[in-house]
Amino acid sequence: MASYPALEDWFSTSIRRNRKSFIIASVALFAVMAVAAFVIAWFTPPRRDGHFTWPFVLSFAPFAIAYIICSYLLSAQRLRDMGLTGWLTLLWIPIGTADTYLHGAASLAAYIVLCTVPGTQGTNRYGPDPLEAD
Amino acid sequence: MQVFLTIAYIVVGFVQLFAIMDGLGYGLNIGRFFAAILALFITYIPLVGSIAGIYGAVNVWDWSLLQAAVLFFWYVPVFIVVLLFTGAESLFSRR
Repeated sequence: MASYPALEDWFSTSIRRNRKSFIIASVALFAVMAVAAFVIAWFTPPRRDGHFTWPFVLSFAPFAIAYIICSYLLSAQRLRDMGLTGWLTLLWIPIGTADTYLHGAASLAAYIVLCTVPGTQGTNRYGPDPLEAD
Repeated sequence: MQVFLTIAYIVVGFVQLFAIMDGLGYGLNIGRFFAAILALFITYIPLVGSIAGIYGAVNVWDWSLLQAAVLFFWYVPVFIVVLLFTGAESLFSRR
């Protein structure tokens, strides 16, 4: 059984993504953002007071926007694999606006669920089983 | 992944455009307007655009050669990393 290609279809709104593919995609997404932040910060270092400069903000903003959208869509893909609607991914909004401790705990819990709950076997109403794809 | 590479391409291209513009103005002693028009053509020519960008960044912006080379030849290390990642992924994609 194959796993869904982890580096493909990050912005798809229709596919199902299995656990392994989701974990690899999440790690790769984090790595992309870390590299982007590091490189941009190298060229546009923060001011002495610790605030970022406008060139940093303007250069990093497209990456940050794409990252947020991508995070939602990857979560939605995983939820569809579990047989749930992808719209449940909007639960990240209250999680994101919660205070620090609640936000941390809820994020961790959500990621544990997304990384551990197996997908439905065989075809579900959101498409074919990603583990059965060639 | 391709979306992020496209964003990087556009952002670096934008910086490169201004570096080439300043480099042309400095090297050929032409006005900003003509430098901008020439830069628009040169920026997205592979290799030529990168080298012209490095010239402008080093000579006009006083960047170090390493810093300029890393930025304008960003696609070389990125594609090596992507190749390595894709290879590692295909290695572990089968159970």
